[in-house]
Amino acid sequence: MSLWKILSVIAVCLLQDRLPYEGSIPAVAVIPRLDVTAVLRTWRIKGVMYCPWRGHTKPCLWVENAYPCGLLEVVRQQFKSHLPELPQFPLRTTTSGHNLGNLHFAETRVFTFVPPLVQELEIPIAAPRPKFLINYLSELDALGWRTGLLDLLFAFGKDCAGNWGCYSPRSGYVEQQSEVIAAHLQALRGGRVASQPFGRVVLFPYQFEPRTGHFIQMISPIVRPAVSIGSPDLEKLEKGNVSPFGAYLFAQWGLFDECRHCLDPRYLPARPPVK
Amino acid sequence: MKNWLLLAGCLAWVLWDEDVCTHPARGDSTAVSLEAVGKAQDEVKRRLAVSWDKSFKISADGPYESGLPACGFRQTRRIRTQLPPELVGKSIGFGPSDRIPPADIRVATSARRILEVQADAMADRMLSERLGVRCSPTLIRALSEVELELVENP
Repeated sequence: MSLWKILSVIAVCLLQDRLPYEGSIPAVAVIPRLDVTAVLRTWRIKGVMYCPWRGHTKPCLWVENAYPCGLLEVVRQQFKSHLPELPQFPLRTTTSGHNLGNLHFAETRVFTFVPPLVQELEIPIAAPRPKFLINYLSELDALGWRTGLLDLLFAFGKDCAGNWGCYSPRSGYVEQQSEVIAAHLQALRGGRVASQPFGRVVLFPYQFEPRTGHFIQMISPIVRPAVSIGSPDLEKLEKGNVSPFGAYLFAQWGLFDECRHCLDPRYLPARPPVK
Repeated sequence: MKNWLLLAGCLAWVLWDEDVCTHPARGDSTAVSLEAVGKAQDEVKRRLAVSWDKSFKISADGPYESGLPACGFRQTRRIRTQLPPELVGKSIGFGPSDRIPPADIRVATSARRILEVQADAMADRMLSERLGVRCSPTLIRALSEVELELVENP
């Protein structure tokens, strides 16, 4: 980034209280930015089931596909958010996001975000019930997110998102050359904390633990196609996607299967990432 | 003379009408009602806005309750368990959000409003079981890497 761009960003920050990304993406505006091709790319038939339904036997198509289930936000300014709906929270004295050499620190938020199917589709799609919840704000989990002290009491296996990095330690510090890949990993770690609190300050447990081989899509600063978590193509992941404010918004796409009226939507296990 | 030629050239360029490219319709088509699409989008927007308001009330305004019972009388006990070296010498206090015993790490066992929790951690089942906490309030001291002292109702 040129010196001129850096100076412009600093000038913008000094001239206004609100940063340009703050409140720029209402939750509703995320829907048209979702990469719907992710549903079609991952859609496959697993089989056919027959089950009793209203007095007779009904067949259903057992399908699997990706479906949006969460919003993961990574910012370097406390209590600032892309989502204008995020209400004011009581400020606490904690450190804010920063970079130090290859060490990146950022705040992370996790929201359950399962949008409704806007229209009836001809093909059956595995989709959990629409839901919207605030699950985790790392600012409220200062001790855990900054030190990872309580996590030392538990044994977390060496579970990694391919060569992006590992899901633990579940803290906001990531050693990574690229800020973009660091942001992806920080978002996933936040999701892991929210889904398995183990004593961490979580507002509401998150049902959709981020898993390798499921999908994540950058929504801000640039709308990108959904990519498999742990995908080895790091260059594609980071090229031209750096936020001047270190602020990133991602949509998490979980892999689900469902056989309507026979089998409720199920969140599927991790799998090897695809290119 | 040159100017006249230039002007004539410009006029010819401006007046020249490029052929419009036409594509014949193929297959069946259905007219899209922009009004219906707009209404559907408004409906989604309204439902999401309502859902957001509700969800915030549920996730942030709601109370927190770990399910730990209240301690009856003061009791001190020691348990043997593996601890990380970083915790040795530190104290951990478990108690209701507004009455947590003074300690290095403060763990809330209950709170009227989850957003108002003034604690470093929440006493979920995993954490309570890991540290052998049976009731609230409890003050824990990590005596060594293998031993904890728990004071119930300190």
